[in-house]
Amino acid sequence: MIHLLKLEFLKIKNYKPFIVMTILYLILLPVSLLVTKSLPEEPAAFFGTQGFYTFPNVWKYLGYIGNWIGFFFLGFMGVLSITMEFGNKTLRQNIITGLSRKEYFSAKVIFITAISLAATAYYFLSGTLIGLFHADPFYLDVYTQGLVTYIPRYFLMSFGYMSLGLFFGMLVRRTGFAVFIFLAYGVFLEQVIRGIHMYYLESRTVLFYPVNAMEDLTPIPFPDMANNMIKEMDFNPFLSSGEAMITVTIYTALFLFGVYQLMVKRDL
Amino acid sequence: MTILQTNELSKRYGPIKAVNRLSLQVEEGQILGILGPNGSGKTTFLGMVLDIIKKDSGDYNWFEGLQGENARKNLGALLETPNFYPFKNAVDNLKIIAHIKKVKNPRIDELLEIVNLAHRKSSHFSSYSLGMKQRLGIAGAMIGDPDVLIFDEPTNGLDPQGIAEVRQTIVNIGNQGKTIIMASHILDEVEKVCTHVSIIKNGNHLISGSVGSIISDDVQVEIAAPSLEGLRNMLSNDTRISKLVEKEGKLILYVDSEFSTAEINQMAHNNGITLTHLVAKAKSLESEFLEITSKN
Repeated sequence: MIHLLKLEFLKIKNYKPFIVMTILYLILLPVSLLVTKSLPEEPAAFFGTQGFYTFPNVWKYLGYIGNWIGFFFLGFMGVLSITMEFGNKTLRQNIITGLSRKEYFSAKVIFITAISLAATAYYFLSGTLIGLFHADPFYLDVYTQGLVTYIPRYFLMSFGYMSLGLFFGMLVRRTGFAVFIFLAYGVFLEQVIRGIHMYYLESRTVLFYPVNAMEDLTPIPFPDMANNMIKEMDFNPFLSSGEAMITVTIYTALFLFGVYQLMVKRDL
Repeated sequence: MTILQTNELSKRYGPIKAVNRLSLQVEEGQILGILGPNGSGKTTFLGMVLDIIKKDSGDYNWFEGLQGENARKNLGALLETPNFYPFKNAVDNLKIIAHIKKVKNPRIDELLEIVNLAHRKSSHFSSYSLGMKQRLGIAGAMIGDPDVLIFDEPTNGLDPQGIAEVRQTIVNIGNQGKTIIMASHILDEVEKVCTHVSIIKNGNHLISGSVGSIISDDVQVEIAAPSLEGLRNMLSNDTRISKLVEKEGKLILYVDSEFSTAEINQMAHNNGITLTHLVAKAKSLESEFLEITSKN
């Protein structure tokens, strides 16, 4: 396992798109939250921007921002980690050189696991630092409860987006086209499909789609507004965190199963 | 030991049979040339035995099945174009190959010296010329000092000097007792480099054997005289001539190598015929190849 992980890191060493995306992720995650400091206090949205930075709210807001950033940058990394190898025919070469197709698949899964863990660790670090800086006073139980609730969800979200990216990359092979499909699906294609679904069957089943479920792992944190919306609708438009976690786990398994099937069965 | 054995290996792309029930055997120490025109299925065949192209039917095994799934780690292969990470230099690219093969001490500098790339070892692969890429591909195939090497059209797209260098490198590797499987559509190359040859066309296996056995001992002699009729009469009953063809005002004799041109000249002289043209041509793999492939 360490052997395959090391192989993947040898590959991306000095691969510029990866370095750029890593830097953007590292900068954008905390900065996007902190720029809200420059927002005018009045009208204070719901409880003033100060509430963005304290425990446990900092996990929610940072998680919501991380969801957007993760979709783009972690998802792209998933796509590129495979299309880069198709484009340079190095996947072929890796197999010729002696990796088995199963080993190659394992290497990619280990790699996205490692990146997702690192992304989650950074979320933990940023959240903790921002929270501590604004904690007045600091309650340990509030802090740890936030951790237990949000850290697993954030990891699942990161891993889910990377698996989706890997799947589209494996399916489409060409970098530009794969990135386009990934963006198109995440940004509007799923919405269109859900719209059609909604037209024929108006029920909560419309919520159980992969990107929607990944979004609901760290949902939009405006509870008051959401509550108003919920009252006007026939059903709660958000998945509960348990529902979201189970749904994302199942979809992630399906995506990886798809990658595996394509990997093992197709000509390379 | 049998290095590679294939049994009725087949692959089709839609209606086209790229490889049709191909059975081949490669023995240790052979330099086997897989010879065939473009599109005859050479690369598809090698792709299947290297597991990057899925076979439709048939099977193959490496090293008599003794090394299981990991057999490719003990092969060095360069298939079609050399494939490397373009944003990495030669050394980093070779390190990745060594990592996959789990070679502890890959002797990268030494290999780069052999393929004459030591002076460019820190340049990105993307900045290499075609010949340099090909040579790095050969260095990559040699990582871990495998006993079996596979080259697919190794001199494709190289300039004459590059071609000579690559061929010499392959001959040198072969002289170390290694087994080499080389696909090529260039007859001359196979004749110069290989000990054995298998000819395939349209995915079908036509013939296999040592290069010497495929090229028969027959010699062709072209002769001409003012009266071809007289020549024909003179030679028609000679048993040393297996075939006699008239072509473009000349007679082409297929003779066994005992029958020298001096004798022919003497014979014509004795019969009062003055020869205007007398050329002996050693039969090449090319003419054999054209003969074999046109028959099938």
